[in-house]
Amino acid sequence: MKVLEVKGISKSFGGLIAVNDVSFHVLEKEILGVIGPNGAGKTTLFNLITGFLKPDRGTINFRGIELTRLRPHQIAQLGIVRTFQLVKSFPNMTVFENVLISSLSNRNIHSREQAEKKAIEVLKLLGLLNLKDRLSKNLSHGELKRLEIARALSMDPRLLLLDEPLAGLSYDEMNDILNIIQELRELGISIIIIEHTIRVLMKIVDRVIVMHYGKKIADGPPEEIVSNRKVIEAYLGE
Amino acid sequence: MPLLRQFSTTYIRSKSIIVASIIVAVLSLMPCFAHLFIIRVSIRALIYAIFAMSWDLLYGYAGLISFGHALFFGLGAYTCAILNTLFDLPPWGCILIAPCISTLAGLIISIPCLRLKEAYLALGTLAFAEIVRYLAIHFRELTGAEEGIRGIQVFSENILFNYYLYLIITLVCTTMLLLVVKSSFGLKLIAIREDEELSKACGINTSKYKISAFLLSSFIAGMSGGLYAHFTGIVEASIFSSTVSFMAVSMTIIGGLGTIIGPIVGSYLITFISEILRATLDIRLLVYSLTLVLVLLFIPEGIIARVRRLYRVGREK
Repeated sequence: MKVLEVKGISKSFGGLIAVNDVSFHVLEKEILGVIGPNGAGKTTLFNLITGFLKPDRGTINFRGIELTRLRPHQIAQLGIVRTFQLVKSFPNMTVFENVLISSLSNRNIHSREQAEKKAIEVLKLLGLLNLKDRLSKNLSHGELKRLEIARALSMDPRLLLLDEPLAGLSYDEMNDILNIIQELRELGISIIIIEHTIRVLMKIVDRVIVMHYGKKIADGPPEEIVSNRKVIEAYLGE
Repeated sequence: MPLLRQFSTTYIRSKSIIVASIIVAVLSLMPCFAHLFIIRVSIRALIYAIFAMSWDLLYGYAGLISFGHALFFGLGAYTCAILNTLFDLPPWGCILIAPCISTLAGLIISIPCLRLKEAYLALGTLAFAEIVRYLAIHFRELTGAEEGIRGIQVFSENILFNYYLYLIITLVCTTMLLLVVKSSFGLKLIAIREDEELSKACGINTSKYKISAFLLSSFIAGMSGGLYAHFTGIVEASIFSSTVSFMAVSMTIIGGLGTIIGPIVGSYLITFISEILRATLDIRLLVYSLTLVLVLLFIPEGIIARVRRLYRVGREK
């Protein structure tokens, strides 16, 4: 079953076409990788799905709901949750409060007690419980990356959009995150991951789409993508 | 361990309750030992404390900077003045209506101001206050132009009654605001201040919360304005001036931004210094500026935050 269906979306900034007539879909429990060189339009694509930008053309459908008409917080409340490429947090709030903020907007949660319980549960899952009273501005980069995922999870996402979740992480930290992502799939969450290269995603993604200058140039299982001529050209030049 | 931690937080909480009770006790017993002049100045300090707290809610929590807060204060004061002198409404009635008028103004102003941030928001709110000041001078039949409105009724001829009334209102406002900022609502305001884009991604309707913060802040500022009118008996157009707005700003920053209690401390400090100096020279502006500069240089986090930190360090030793 298709969870998300994007049809012919375009977005331009002035003369620059950042996303050009892109269509794709995400299935239930699927992990979709989005790769492409810098400036290919990957993050713009996320901003369009999550309502931070409005597309010039095209439709985005999530389980029968048209997203292009909704505002970012409404989309988040539906369970479409994103993380940011440059890791974001509420710096002067504790780790616990950082997660509580989003669990308060969880569509299944209706009281402060439930939200607090959820926050603790998620912090435990990501091994951040011992840091819960620390201000998030005092966390390391790797811890912040985990906090971002914790915050996303506290909203019980149905579709999770991860923007370069592995950027700047050590080998061990990277493996931790990849394991967590795989566990999330077991929970029935569909996931879209942006990365620069396909290498790190090979093991976990079901399918990959490749973006280049705002266009989708390939869509298929990872084994097929690595041998695709167009993709190799995009990365290495003709 | 968790038991110990729970015990220590309850311990700290009960400590702050004790400190609060001592302060309240001192304030309520003050008329027994203080000179009448001190009581009068204290009432003024209480009024400005409420006003400064309303500014603290907006900037210290929601991160929305207003340099035109005098607009809400002045509107509250003028509402009381006009209703009382022209329509003979008793002070009790006026003080209920004044905050509502200010809230209405808050609603009207918050919508265009939502698109503005930081310095632009500061200038935008400043401009709105100037517009209203001009209107207050222009519509002389209603507002008495520059001379303003005189002969506004006070709550009671008994100064002690007034003192306790103002003290109770201040305590109610303080408690209410403290509960608000500790609630989920307050937490979301802080989140918006910290990172607005991320707040949206966390499912917070930032526009709604920013408008709500504006409404609550203008309500409280309007009430303090009304209390001012019914204490001094006079309202002049200069009440809308930036000096009054900056008073709230400096009191909050001196006492401690984002603390609610800080503005009360700042208000007492500034009000007492300037009222004592008023007898010799009208150098109030110099006093605000000088105190502000000294605080910014030596205790940039504000008096309350510094006291809390010293206390915490002392306890750990």
